Amino acid sequence: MIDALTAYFARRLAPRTDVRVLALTRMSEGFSQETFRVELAWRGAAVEEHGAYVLRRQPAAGLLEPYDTEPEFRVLAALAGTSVRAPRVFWYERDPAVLERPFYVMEVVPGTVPLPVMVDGKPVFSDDERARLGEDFVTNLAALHAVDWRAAGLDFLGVPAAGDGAAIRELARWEGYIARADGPPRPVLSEAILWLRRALPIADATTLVHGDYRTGNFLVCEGQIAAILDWEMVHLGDPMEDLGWACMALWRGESPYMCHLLERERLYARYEELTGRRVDPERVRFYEVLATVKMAAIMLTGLHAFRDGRTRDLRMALFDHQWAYMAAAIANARGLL
Amino acid sequence: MRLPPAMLLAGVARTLEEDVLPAVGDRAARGLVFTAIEVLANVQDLVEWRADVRDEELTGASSALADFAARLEALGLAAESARVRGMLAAADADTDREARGRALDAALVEALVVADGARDRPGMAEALAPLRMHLVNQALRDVMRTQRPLLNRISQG
Repeated sequence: MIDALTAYFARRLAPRTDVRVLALTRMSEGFSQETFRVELAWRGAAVEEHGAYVLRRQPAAGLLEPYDTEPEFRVLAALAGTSVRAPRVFWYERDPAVLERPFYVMEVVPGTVPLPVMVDGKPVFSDDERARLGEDFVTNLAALHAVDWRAAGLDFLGVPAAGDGAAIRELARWEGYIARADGPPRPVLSEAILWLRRALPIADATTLVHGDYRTGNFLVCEGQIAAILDWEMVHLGDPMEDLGWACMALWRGESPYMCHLLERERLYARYEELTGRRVDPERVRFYEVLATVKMAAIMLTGLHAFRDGRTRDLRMALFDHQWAYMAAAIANARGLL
Repeated sequence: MRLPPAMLLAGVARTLEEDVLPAVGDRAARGLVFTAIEVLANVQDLVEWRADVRDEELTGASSALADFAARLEALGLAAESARVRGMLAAADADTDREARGRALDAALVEALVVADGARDRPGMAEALAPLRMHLVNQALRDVMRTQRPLLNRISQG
């Protein structure tokens, strides 16, 4: 792997010479794509120089199979000209001769990724951090939903039909994942899906939707959100979908704050101020229930890959037991608890 | 409904051997990893999920379906009631515990579809109560038996 990477970066960094990979470290965050940090050295004009990149490789199997990392690369490339804080991307590589599977290279953004989990009952963020990051969280979401996706050439993501087209498409997408996971019947999941089919909301706008916008998917540096990460579920859809996902109970646990950052009312009010778009609580509720179905679909897909022996990642097997929390989250979102 | 214990334990052993061992340099620690692998190999075909726990789940599902079928009949939905009773009887006749569990879950899904098809019928919301109660009780029972996820530790090592 090191030799292949050395040759790859030698080509990419030309005319720099004597390119060497000093270290390749697999990052443990993230359950889906394979993320590596690559440390490099090369000869510049006169002296040896050093640099680092992040490499995101398509996994062979896992939570979101079948994988295609190219759309997210193209979206990240398009976002470079906007105010959305996203990592800069450099190159996309499809040739399996390099690293067996497609990957892309992006910048290293300094910072840490806070996870949406309270440890020993302590809040994830202090009040100060919550105030600053909460504001940043909603500001970035507003910026993302303001992107002129037509002008940015992002209609390749597939434009949903007007009206309830976005809701129909997303529900069908995740029902498809559940069907392909081919698991045993899950009554609580079926109950939620039956409800969703009857509650399809009408969208009043089509925007870029991150699809996984939450604490755990942004980098914090010097008290600010430095970059929004994990764009693999990006698509065009109803902007309320990102709000519904961020409001899912799994991302706040016992905290009263959505994603450990903002009260629901504050999130809605600030989003309305920044976007000029009214938040429709019923539409958000639809997407909040859909969020639990989507999360369940992701877990079942990972479990299926483990059961079939297509991945030996033991974290996928863990979903078998964590299903208990998922079922409770679905029941809670549906108002059964 | 759950992965067979043998499959899970084989996965743990494989992770220890292929992912953990290469990163362990200390000889004594490596020896203990091999010990753990041998323990897992010896027990993996001898363990199964606790029967009393599974039986409690199956009894809850069976009762909820019987109650729902009776309520359907009281609402004048005889054909729908017979459909649910038929699936319940077939499930309860299965002597294999895991197969019975899958059949009962399939019957629960079918019962929910039946209720959805007649959702505008007066009294249907009340008729659904035993099914909803069962879903909630099952979810809560499972949460009580499950370790809190170690997401932080898993992600950050």
